[in-house]
Amino acid sequence: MFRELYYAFSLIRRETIVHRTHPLLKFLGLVILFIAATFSNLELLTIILVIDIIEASLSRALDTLYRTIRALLLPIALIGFFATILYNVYRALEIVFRIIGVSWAVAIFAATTSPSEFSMALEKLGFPLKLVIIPELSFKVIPYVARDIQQTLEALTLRKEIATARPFPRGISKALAVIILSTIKRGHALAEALLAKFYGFAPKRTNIYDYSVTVYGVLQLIIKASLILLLILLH
Amino acid sequence: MIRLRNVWYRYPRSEEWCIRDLTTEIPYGVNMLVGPNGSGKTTLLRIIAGFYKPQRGYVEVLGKKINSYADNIGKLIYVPSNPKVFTVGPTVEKDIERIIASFNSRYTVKEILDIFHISHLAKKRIYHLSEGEHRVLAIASALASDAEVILMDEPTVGLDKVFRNALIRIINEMGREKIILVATNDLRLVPRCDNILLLNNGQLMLSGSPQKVLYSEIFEEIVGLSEIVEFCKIVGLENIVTPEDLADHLRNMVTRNV
Repeated sequence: MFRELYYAFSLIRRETIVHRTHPLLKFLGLVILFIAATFSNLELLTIILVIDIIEASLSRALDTLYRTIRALLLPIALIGFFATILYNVYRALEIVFRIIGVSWAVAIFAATTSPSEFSMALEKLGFPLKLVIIPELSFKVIPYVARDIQQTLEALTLRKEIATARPFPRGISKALAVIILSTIKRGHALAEALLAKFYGFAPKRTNIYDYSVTVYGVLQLIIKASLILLLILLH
Repeated sequence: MIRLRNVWYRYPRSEEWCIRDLTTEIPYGVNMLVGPNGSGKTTLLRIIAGFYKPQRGYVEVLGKKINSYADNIGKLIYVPSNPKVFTVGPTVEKDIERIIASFNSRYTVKEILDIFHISHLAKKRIYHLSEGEHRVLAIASALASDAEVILMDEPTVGLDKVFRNALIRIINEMGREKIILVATNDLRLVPRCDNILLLNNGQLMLSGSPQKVLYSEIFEEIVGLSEIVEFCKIVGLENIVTPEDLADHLRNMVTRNV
C-alpha cells in the first residue's frame, strides 16, 4: 500500500500541457474540485471522475490513477462496506466516488507539479518565504518518509516482528515507533542541512522556472468552476 | 542456494532496465556483491528478498520460487542500508532477545553481545545509539537470528576500523552454514569472502573466488584495484588478496631465504 502511495503521489517529469500549466492555476483548480466534490451528488461526482481521467490522459499519468486506487483499495472497500450498512448503496457509492475523485485530483496535481515550482509561484505572488518553504519541503520529504515506512514494514515482516496479513495486522505499533523515530531524525537532518546552507536567510530567491497562463490552465478552471455553478443551480 | 534465472527488472514508470538478464547461483558461504554506484546491487538484494518482483525470469531461495517477501519469512533476513528501520528495541539487549525468540535461534543474548563486543551497550535504548552503534546492532540482530539466508546492504558504512575488521571475522565464522550476501563498495571487506559477484549496469560481469575476480582486468576496469592487489601486481605477486595473505607470503619468503 505504501509503495503504491509513494509512486501514486510522486512527480512524473514530462512535457505535457498539464505540466506546463501555471502551478497556481492547477492548485486553484484542485481547490475548486475539492469543494465541488464535497457537496456533489453521485451524478456530478461521476463527472468529476471523468474530468480526472481526462486530465490524467492529457498529462500521460493514467497509471497514477491506477496506483492511487490500488493504494487506497482497502480503506475504500472498508468505508464502502460500512457506508452501505449504515446508509444505503447510493450513499455508499457517493462517498466512495468522492474519495476517489479527490484523491485522483490530488495525485494528478502531485504528478504534474514540482514542489519547488509551486513554492516559487506562491513566493512570486507575495507569500512569505518561510510559509512558502513549508509545503515545498513537506512534499520533498514525503517520498523519503514513505520509503522509510515501506522499508520498515518489509524489514520487520522478515524479522517476524509484524504480520501484515489482512484483515488483522499484528505488531503495527512496533512499526509505528520505528517510523516515527525515522521521520523525526529525517526532519532533524533536513533542518541541519538547510541551516548549513543558510536557507531562508536571503530576502528572496531567484526564480528559475518559466511558466505562464495557458489556454488549458484557464479552460480547466472554467470547467471546474462550472461544476460549482451546476451544484448551486441543482440545489 | 539462491538461484536467479534470466532476471530482468525495471522500476515502475521507468523505461530503463535496472537488472538485465541476470542468471547466477549464489552458494552457501559469504558472498560479496560488488559494483559501482547505480549498478543494481541494492535492487538485486531487494529482488532476492522478494520486495520487487522481476518482470521476467524468477528467483529461487532454498529451492522455492519467490513471488513476494512473504515466501521468505522465517528463512531470510534483510538488513537495509538504513539500519534504523530494522531495529525495534527498546534496548539493545531486548532487540537481540526478540529476534532470537522469533527465529528459535541457537544463540543466546549473552553470546551475541560477547561476539560483537557490545555488552556495554546492552541496556542502552536504541534511540540513544550513535549511527555506528545502530548499524552494529542491526548486524548483530541479523546474525543472531541464525536465519539460513542473510542479506546485508552496505553494512560497514560508518563503522570504525576495529569493528569493521571484527565484523569480517564474525561474518566468516558465523556464515559457514548460511548464505550471506553482502552488497558493498568497501574493497577492504570484499577480499575476505568465498565468492564475489561483480555487477555493472544491471548485468553480472563476473563471479568467482576473490583471487579470480580481484585480479581480473574487468574488475580493475569497473571497480578499481584494492591496495593490496595493486601492490602485489606491481611487485609481480599473484593470488594474494588480503594483508594477512601478503604477510604470510613475505614471512615464507624471509624464512626460505634465511
